[in-house]
Amino acid sequence: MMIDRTASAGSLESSDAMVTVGPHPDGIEISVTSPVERQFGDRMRATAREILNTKGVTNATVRIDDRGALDCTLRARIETAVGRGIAPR
Amino acid sequence: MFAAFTERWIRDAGPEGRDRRELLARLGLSVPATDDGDRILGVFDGSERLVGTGSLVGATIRGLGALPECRDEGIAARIVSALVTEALRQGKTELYVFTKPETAPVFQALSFDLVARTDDAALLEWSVAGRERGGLAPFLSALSDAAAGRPDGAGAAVVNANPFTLGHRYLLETAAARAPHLYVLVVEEDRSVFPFDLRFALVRDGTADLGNVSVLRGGPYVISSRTFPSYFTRDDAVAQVHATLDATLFAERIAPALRVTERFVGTEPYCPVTRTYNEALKRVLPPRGVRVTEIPRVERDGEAVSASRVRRLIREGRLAETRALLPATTYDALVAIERKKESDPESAALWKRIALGTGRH
Repeated sequence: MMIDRTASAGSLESSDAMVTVGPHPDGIEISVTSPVERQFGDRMRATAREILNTKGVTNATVRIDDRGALDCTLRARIETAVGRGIAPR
Repeated sequence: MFAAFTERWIRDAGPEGRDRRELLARLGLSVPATDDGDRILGVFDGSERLVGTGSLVGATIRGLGALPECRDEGIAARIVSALVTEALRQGKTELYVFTKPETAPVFQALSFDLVARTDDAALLEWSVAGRERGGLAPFLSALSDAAAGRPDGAGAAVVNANPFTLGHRYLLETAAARAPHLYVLVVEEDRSVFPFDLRFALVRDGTADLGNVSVLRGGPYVISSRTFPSYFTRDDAVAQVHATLDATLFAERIAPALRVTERFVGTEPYCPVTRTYNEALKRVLPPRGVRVTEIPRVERDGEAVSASRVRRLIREGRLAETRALLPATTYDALVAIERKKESDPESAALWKRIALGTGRH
């Protein structure tokens, strides 16, 4: 499955994360901005990858702008954004 | 103190729009003009007082302001989140902020990346593709690639070439004779009478005989609506602010990517915005290691050869007279378009655009 449009979930407010997904021609690219990017950047990317895998998404650009979100919040934001990016029009 | 804020889209016309203009004026901020499709967000406190605002104008976030007493409560994050979400909903994938330098950190904390900053302005960007793959970074790496294997200490010139005249030709020829290599960046913004593809082709064809010249697309970071909006809007009042920002971006990011140490410009006899730009280059570039060399304009019949003169002649139906002002490559291309306008709809549309065209550059 492919992300075929830009979609987002969440916000840039403190303790939240804004997750944006968009199309990608071949594969998955995930970028992260976060005050704790060094410590948790890889984990956030892994979480995003896992959610994309679960949903069978093979092509996607994912941008995570984390503002100190808890893991459960981040997951919810990623799932919602991905869901919106592949939902039927 | 916790305050229950609510946010909603407001209209420029109407009482809330008036409150917004008052709020921005009180904060010493300019009020961005908005069009249909642009959105203005208002944030209100419990007593329905407007405490913060921001707007989405095209792909640009503008007019962000909040009452000082509310700033610690994450209002900026709230407004910017709503504006980014709205921009994405509209299908935009790259967003910009043109703001005062002291406000840049607010946006940087919200994941916007600084493109350039001067004493008067800062330009920031945000791309869905992320900071490595979107925005300035890939543009700079494409420039580095174009400069790979070419000499250090190269020269650069930026031309709009609307269209490419003997004046441009003289500038580039002189520059190419002085620099070990010359990069010509063609303004890519498609707001000129001559469309970008044609302008680019005319520069390329008109310099093909010069062995040490590379013609490159100016992209969104060389005299573009992002870096230099007043170049296109004719807003002279802010031209200096934009010119300085564009010059700073060139000196600090673009010149190093191309390993350029000299920028060539033509003297500007007519256009005040271009003159302002040349002044900004002369002020900003040398302290950053880039010399600015001004080359006098070529004259024909006591008048500087300029693209605006060529456009005027064409508008007046005097195409044949442009021959003395144009390299053969440009003149032949124009004649060919004019000839084909009866038979080929694409040429007809192009000719119409050229022959009716007005505009400063």
